[in-house]
Amino acid sequence: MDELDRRILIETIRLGSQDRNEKTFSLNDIAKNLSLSENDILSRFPSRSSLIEKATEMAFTSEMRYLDDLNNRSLSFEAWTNRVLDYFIFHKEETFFVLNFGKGLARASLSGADLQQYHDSMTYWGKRILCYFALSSDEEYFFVWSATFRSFVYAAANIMRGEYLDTPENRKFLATLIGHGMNSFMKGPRL
Amino acid sequence: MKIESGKNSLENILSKSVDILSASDPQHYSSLEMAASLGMSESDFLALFPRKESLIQECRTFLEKDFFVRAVASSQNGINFEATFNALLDHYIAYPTFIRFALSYDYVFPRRELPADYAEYKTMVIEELVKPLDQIRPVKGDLEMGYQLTDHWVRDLILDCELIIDGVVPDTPAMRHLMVKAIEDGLFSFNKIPGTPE
Repeated sequence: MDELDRRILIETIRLGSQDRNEKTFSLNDIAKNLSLSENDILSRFPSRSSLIEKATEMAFTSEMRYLDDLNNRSLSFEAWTNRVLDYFIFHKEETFFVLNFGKGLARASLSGADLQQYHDSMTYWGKRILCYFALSSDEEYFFVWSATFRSFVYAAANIMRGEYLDTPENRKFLATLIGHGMNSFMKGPRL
Repeated sequence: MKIESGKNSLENILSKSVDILSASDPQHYSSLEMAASLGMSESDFLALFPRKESLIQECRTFLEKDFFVRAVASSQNGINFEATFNALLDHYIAYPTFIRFALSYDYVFPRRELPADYAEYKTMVIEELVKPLDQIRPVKGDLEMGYQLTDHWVRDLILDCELIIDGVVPDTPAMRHLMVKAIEDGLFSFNKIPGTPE
C-alpha cells in the first residue's frame, strides 16, 4: 500500500463514519476532498465496495493489533476494559466506520465470501486476544470474541454520541456486564 | 387505489415495506418503485408516507411494537431467560427480513448521532419493554439500568439471529446455549487459564 492508497482509505473511513441511512458518501466525495479524480481512485480500488472492504479491513486490523498488544501489559480486567474503551473513543471515525460497515455489526452482509472472511478473521484475533482463556473450539473463539468486541464498539458509540456519560460508574457497569453478564444485575435467585 | 382503513391493511403494507427496505439500499429506491412493489399508485403511497424517513419510521415502530409484545409474552411464558431467548430466536429466524431491517434502521444499533426522536423511542422502550420485564424479573438498579441491560441483550439477540441466518454459526442447541451464556454470565463464565491476570 503506498501513501496515496493510505490517504484514500483514511478519507473513506472519515466519510464513511458520518454515514446515515438517508445519506451516504460517494467516490466523488472522496475524490473531491483529496483533489483527485474518480478515475484516480478507481485505478487503485476497482469499485466503491472494494474500497469500503479495504478500509474496513484496515480499521479492523488496527483495532485488533492494539487489543492484541494490550495482552503484553498484564492488566486487570477492569483496566483492560478501560483501555479498550479508550481506544474506540479516541479513534472516533474508525469506530463509527466499523459500526457502519463492519461485518457482524450494524448492517447485514449478504456475501458468503465476506462472511467467511469475517468468521476467519474474528476467530484468528479471538484466539490471540482471548489468550488467557482456554475455549473449547474455533467456534467458541469466534463467537465469544465477536460478542465481546461488538459490546465495546456499541458502548463506545453510545458514549460518543451522548447516550451514556463517560463516568467511572458507567465504565464499571460495562466491565461487569462484559465480564460477568447480565445476571450480575438481577435481583433474586437465578431462574 | 383506495387504502382500506383498518389495522390489517396498514400492517400488511408495513410488513411488505420491511421486506423491500431490508433488501435494498435506501439511496437506491424511489417512491415510484416502492409504490409499484406494494401494488399502489405513487400518489397513494406518498399520501401515506410523504418522505422516505416517514416510511422507515413507521416500519421501525411496527417491528418494535411487535417485538415488545413477543418479548414480554415469551418472558411470561418462559421458565428462564434462555427459554425466552430461544423463543424469540425461533420466531425471528423465520423472518430474516425483519432482522435485516432492524440491523439497518433500528435505534438499538447506534449511529454517529442520536436521532432527533431518540428520547421518545427510549421512553417507549422503557414503558413497553423494560417495565413489564422488570415486573417478571427485576433488576437491582433503576429503570435506566434496566434500559441499558435490555438494550444490550436485544442487540445481541438480533446480531446472533443474523449470524445464524447468514450461516456464520450453526443453529445448534450448543451454539444457542453459548449465546445465552455470553449474555447472562459474561466472559468469565468461560474457561480461563489458571494464574492469568484477574
